Amino acid sequence: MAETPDNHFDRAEALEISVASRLDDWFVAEVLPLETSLRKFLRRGWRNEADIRDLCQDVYVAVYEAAAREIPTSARAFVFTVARNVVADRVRRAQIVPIEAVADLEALGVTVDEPGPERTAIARQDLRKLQAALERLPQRWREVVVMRKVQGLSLPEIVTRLGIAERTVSQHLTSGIAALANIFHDDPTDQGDKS
Amino acid sequence: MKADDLDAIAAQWIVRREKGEWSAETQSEFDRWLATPGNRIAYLRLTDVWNRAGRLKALSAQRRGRFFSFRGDTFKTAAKVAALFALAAAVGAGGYAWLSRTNDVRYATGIGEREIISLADGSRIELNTQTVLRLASVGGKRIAKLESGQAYFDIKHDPVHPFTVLTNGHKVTDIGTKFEIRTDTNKVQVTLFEGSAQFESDGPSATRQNAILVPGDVAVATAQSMRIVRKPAQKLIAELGWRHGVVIFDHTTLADAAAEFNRYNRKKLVVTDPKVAKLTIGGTFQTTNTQQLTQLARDIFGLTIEDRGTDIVISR
Repeated sequence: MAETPDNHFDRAEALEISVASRLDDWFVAEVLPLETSLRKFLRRGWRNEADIRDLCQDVYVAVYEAAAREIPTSARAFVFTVARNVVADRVRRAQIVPIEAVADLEALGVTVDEPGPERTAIARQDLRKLQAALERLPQRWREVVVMRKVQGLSLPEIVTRLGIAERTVSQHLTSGIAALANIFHDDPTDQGDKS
Repeated sequence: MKADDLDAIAAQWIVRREKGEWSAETQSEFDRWLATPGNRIAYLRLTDVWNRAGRLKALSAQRRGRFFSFRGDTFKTAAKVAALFALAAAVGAGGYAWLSRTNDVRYATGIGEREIISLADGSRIELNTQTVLRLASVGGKRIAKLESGQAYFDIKHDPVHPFTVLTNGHKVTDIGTKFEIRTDTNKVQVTLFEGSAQFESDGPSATRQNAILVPGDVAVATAQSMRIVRKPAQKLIAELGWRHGVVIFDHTTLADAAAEFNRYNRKKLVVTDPKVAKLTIGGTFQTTNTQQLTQLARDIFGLTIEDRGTDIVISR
């Protein structure tokens, strides 16, 4: 069959999709599992707890955009290099945090080359982390998350079961999903350097 | 935009998906939203954890005691631990009935697999290929049983809740440590990296030994004897290569290298020619990349590599 321009387009699109999903796969498999370590690392360089999630996001965007050009060989090394720059940048812009906050990053350092639990994390460990995360969720959110994920109920079933507005259930679920990810990636024992 | 606000939108997309209200229009709106890396990342991140949360279904099927939570009946501890050791000694390495009545958790890795267990108390255990480990908390004592294979322990010391590893009847109790235990068919090797640990070997009472290990100590216990040797730091690092998915050889014979590779791979390397077996190699190899070794054997030593499907024969 002769190749029409349409075919070309399809192929180019298919290629783009496969590139995007390869990048996404890499990001999910190699980068996201580092978040617990990343948070620890960021906390040591940046005292304001309220900014940690934002800093993570900044690191992710920079990592993702760089990886779109070329996927780095070591996700871990790359993520922490970017993280160091992101923190240094923040500190520079803030101008209020003494500069030793970053100077000491390395010395305080989260060991970058250590294989984290992330790389080989498996079902059981996930389950334990999830279970702990679930317990730390605010009660209303936890309730709908449990119904959805533990009991496997559909949204309409949850609405019926709870007897509250669908809109409210959706809101609880939305909040629950976002909070679960934050808690899941957070090490409850890590208090950073808040001295 | 604040990441939290981004998360709220990403979570809304997930909920919309789950509701099933999804038209072609929604799809194109979603695609447009996803085209921004920041949005895409937020979505990937939430979806990842939300998908993992599917594992929570397991909770509805089983209700297990909280692991290492250290709550509960401490007064029964002594009796329980005594019974435990008696049981462990009685069943030996087979260990089928071990702790079956307590809340133990079994971890097992297959050929070439590794697993890292992070415990609630901050301790970490890394399992190498073909390893079976059981963990339990009895009273407040943390007890692990290494049934086979190799594991690295990084234990948060707690005098009130000592951490003990049982293996082939031998016993290692941490005193704030990082150590590794490797079991083979007839011996157990304990390598201490940091802190100290107490090692009690099993065997006829005359040969039973009790030693405090310090960093650099390698205790090797067989059914009859135990000896402690010291290893230089470089050797110790090489010992732990598996934690990074590599084996480090230094003047290692091809026979030993093949045996090491065979722990990680289904397809076995076979070296029968004694002259070939004695050739020595060095370097860092990925545990599951047999090809790195066979290529080296072919290119450097000019050996013949024959892939027979289930195994690979290295010969002259």
